[in-house]
Amino acid sequence: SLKQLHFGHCMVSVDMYEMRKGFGDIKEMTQSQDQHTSIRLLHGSHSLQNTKSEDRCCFFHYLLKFYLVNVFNQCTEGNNFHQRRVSRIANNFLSIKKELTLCDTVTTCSCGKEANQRYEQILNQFQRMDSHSAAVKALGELDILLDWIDKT
Amino acid sequence: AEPVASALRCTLPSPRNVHFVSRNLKNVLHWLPPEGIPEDKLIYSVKYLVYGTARWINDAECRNISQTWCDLSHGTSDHKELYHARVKAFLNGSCSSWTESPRFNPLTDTKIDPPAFALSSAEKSISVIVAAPKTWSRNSRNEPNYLHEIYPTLQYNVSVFNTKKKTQWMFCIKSNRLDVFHLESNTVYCVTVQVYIMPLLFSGLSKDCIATLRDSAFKEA
Repeated sequence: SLKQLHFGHCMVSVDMYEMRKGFGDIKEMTQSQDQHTSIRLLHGSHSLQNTKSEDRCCFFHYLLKFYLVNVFNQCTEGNNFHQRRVSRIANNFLSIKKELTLCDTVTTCSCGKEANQRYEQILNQFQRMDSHSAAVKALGELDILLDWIDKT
Repeated sequence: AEPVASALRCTLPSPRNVHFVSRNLKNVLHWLPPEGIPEDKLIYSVKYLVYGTARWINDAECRNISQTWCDLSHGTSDHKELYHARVKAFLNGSCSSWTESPRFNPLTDTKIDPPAFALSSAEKSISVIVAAPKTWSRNSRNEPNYLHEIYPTLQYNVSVFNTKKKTQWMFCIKSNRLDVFHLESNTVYCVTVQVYIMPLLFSGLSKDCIATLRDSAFKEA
């Protein structure tokens, strides 16, 4: 089921079923590898729907790039099943990012102070952990990001 | 009071398969007893943690209990949070180590019960009225919470099946009432209703049938 997301002037279609199904298949295994339960990267207060609408497009763009650059390519171990699910989700992120990039050039997907601050807090927390544990934690928090997308 | 674990030797085998079972956001923790130990003398204690914090919280209802489940709805009622829970067993001055549950996301990990609905009919129409599904409520005496307050995307998928002609219509409604017109009189229609929230979160089907009334012209002839 394709969900149409409106970020200010940008409109992006997102295959929520495939991403939720893909994540559901790897959720327990991924989250069980995350021993740092006292750390959360994507806080409810930083959610997309709690972000000013004019900043949402840019903040969402940051999050997509964050996952593509720092997370998916770090989580390549695990069995074939796990890898296929991660790459399918990554491909979804890539196509969303392409659509957003088109929109970014055509209209201003402006990056305000709030979007920059929120992204910085996520990145700082991520960088305080060793890279593999951080990537596993971020992957395990995909359901939080998907909830944010669903509510946007 | 709960035996102080540190003073005990924790050599018992641990509880197994600790997991949340959630229906309409009533979140109950379940587990299996440790293997190879007579169950009748075992007692358990449960703690839970809000993911992203470091403090394991005691639940007063879930301390020194002998059953292998405990209702953590109250402690896990903030749906924006995610949770872990853990269980420890005690027996005759000894204890087990903790066994932890997988991470629990109330919003996506709950199961939705099929909705209740009422049917009424006239000569050429039927009306479907769905009872808005309730969730576990913090204070069940006077503040029922409804699923649609928590899930703004909630909708009802309704199917109407003409049992005579074997034809079917599908409707997708946000409100909890549907009136279907231009039907055939004196015909049995079977209706199913499903709660749909998001791709992997929907209820089973509730089903009922009703007959439209006889054609009034037919009655007078």
